Parts: sequence; structure tokens; C-alpha cells
Amino acid sequence: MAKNKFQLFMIVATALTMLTACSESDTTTEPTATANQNEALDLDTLMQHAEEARAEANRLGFEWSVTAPLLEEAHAAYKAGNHEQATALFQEVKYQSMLAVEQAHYANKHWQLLIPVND
Amino acid sequence: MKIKAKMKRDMAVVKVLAKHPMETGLRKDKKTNEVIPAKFIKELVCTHNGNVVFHADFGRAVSKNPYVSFSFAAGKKGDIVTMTWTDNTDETLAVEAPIK
Amino acid sequence: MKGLTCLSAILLGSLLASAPSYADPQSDNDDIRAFFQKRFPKLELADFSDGVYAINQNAREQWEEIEEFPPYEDAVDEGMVLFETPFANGKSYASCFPNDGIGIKQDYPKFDTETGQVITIEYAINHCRTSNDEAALPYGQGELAYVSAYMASTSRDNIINITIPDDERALAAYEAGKKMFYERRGQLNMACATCHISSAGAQLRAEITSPALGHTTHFPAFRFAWDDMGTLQKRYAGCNTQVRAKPFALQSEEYRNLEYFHTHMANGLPINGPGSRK
Repeated sequence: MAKNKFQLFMIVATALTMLTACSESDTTTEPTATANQNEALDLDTLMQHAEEARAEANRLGFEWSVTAPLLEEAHAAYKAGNHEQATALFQEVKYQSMLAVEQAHYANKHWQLLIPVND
Repeated sequence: MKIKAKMKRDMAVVKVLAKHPMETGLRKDKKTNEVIPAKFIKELVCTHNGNVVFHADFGRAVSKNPYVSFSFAAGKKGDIVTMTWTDNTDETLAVEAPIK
Repeated sequence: MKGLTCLSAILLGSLLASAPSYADPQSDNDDIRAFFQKRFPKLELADFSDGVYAINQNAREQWEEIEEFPPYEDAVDEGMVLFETPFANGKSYASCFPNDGIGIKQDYPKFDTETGQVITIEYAINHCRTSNDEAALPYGQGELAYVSAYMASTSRDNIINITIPDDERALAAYEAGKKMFYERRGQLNMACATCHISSAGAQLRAEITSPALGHTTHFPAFRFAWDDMGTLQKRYAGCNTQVRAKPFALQSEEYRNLEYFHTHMANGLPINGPGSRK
């Protein structure tokens, strides 16, 4: 694994850092909200959450291409007074966006995993 | 339509690229919602010294700008091959080339 | 549970530490080449310029047939006319590029130390236009792609030579491009590397995925799917959409950095563009 002294140092240093970090609380890599939690929210708050989540995913550069069309549909359903449909769609937008944000954080930490390794 | 003909050992190899929309007649214009009229090659014929050396019956399932390649035995260097297509609107086009 | 998480964190940390944490573009190239040489042992380095046609016999035969009447010919001819026609102010594209714009594609993208950004050939083409009071052309396809195609055709057989100047901004741009190449994105959670490194040569529905090494040698390309000449970044946007990631704007900083990394990967390979692809 260690090709030279620098890398050996890095492995030891990182291992020590990891040991220290482990004593602190760990974060889970799963999205922290599920669709069920949104049942308690009123539609206007849900709509706001959905918009904000999508904006955050976009800011990080990880927004999914399928999210914006759903958001448009959600707004259309809301305007048409179809609140059940609007709720389901805003929930989906929020959930997709939260997954995209998790994806961005995961990518920041672990993107090197796909670099080919030659042994 | 572009055509090339070349001797390969004792066979003449002919390659043709027919520039044609090959419109199926089943598509709709997205803006006007009108059906785009069918325009596709129905027949492709290649003649050499008065003989038909290649004949194809095409239909709407063939893609745009069809490419055809075939070989025949009777040709020799310098002979002319003529390729003609006719489409469903009775438009026709012919090109010829010498065998190299 | 916590102990297991700690252990995996240590192992992960060690794994990450064994990959250099500083940018070393040359060893990146060495690693990628070693990987592909192992994966496709019969290929020489230059063969990778042919992409999927170097690794699939059936595709190669079809490609060789269609090269009898190269689909990109018309675009190159039109590109030449556009390239040689002077602007309203009397100047032409030749005045904006080294060597009058002939045979220079192998040096692009470049890092411009003055503006601190990556310049692709398409970006430079539009910059040339706007600096000479001409309207910018849409990136991706059409006239701009034809001009790029013509410039690529004059550069055929030249060896790709992307340089990264000794400037931390250049290295940062390269690293940003590298990161983007390896990041999983979109609803399908795939990275460029997923199809074009890890699974290169695999069957993806009806297609065979091409190796990333050599991708940039044959762009811009006439793609039958587009029924037109199109640029590399147009394909980036297409690929992003295919994994259901919202694409970035063509010639955005993100895509220019990606192209910088992607093309540097092909250093030493000959240009064989513009090419034709499905």
C-alpha cells in the first residue's frame, strides 16, 4: 500500500486522526428524513422545504434532472387546487433533493474510491 | 447520393450512401401536431452493362441516409455502374461511377 | 455498531491515504494507462484513439464502412468556409490563434494564467468572435462545432499535449476536473468512471462503453444520435442527463475543468478528429 515514506507517513497520520475522530459522534450516511415525516407539515411549509432542498442540491451541483419537472407538476397541481397530488409531488421533490445533497457530501468524501488502483 | 466502385480481386465492390430523409409518415411535427408526410425510398437498382446487378425493395423501416454495400462478379476496371433510387413520391435519382 | 464504524473509518482513511493527497497529473496518467493496458492487453497506446472501435470488432467493421463516406465531411467543409470568412471588421479567426489556428487542437484545453481559467478551443472560438464584435455562437452544435471540426481536421495525427503550468490555480482546475470525473451523480448514481473506467468494454443496453483514455482525440464528433456535428461538452451534458443529473451549462467552469482533466489523460495519443460515432 505505501509506495514511499511520504505515503507511509500519511497512512499512519490518517489512522491516528481516524482513531481520534472515532471518539466523537459519528454521522450516518442515510438521509435523515423520510416521506412519512412530511405528513405533519402543512402544504405551504412542505412547498418551501421542497424549494429550499432543491436549491441546496443545485448549489452543490448535484441536482437530479428529474426533480425540476416534478416541481413544475407540483406547482401546477397546487394551483389547480389538487392538494393531495401537490403534497405527494412536493414530498418527492424534497426527498430527491435530500438524496442529492447526501450524494454531494458522499462524493466530497469518497470520490477517490473509483480511481483505478494497480497492485 | 454518393457512389464508389472498386475491384477487389475478381469481384467489383460497390458502396453507396443515399442521402434521403426516409421519413416514415408516422411522425408528427411537434409544433403543429401534423403528420410529417411519408417520403422513403422504395426501390434501389444498380445496373452494369445493361444488367441488373443489385435490386433492393426498401420501406419505411430503413433509416435515414441508407448505406448499401454489395459485390458482383461480372465487373471489370473501367466499367460504369449506375445506381438509381425511386421513392414513394415517385421521385428518382441516379448516380454512376467507373469501377476503379 | 460504533466499533465497527470506527474500524471502517480507519480502513477507509488508510485507503484514502494510499492515494496521493496532492495532485500529480503524471502519475494519474500512469495509473490509468496501467489499468487499461491490463484491461485491454492487445491494444497499443495510440489504438485508444479509436475508442470503442478499438475494442469491438463488429462496431469497428461498421465504422470502417461508413468512413468510406465520412459523415463529418460536410461539417468540416462548412467549418473551413466559416473559418476563412473574415469578420465584419476585416479580421478573421486566424488572428486569434497561434499558427493562424491551423494544427493547434492538440494543445487545447489550455490554462490561461492571466484570467486564471481553463480555455477550451470552443471557448476560444467564441472569445475570438466577441473580441471582434461578432455575436457569440451557441456552444454544442451547429456553426461553432463546424469551426471546431475544421480546426480538429487540420490537427489530425498531432500528438495531444496538455500542459499544466506551475500555478496552483491550474493544478486546482485539474483536480476539480478529476473529482468531477470520479464523482457519482444523478438519480442513477453513476460517475464518468463507472462506465468509462471500471466498466469500460461492458455492454450498456445496446452499446459498448468506451475507455475514457482516448475519448478526447476524436471530438468534435458527428454522432448519428444528434444527426449533426457536436462538441465534447455537448456529450458531457448528454451523459449527465442519461444518469439523470442536471447538466451544467456548456463551457461552464465545471465542464471546462472536466475537459482539462479528461484531455490531459490522453496526452501522447494522436488526434484523429473529427470522428463519427453512434
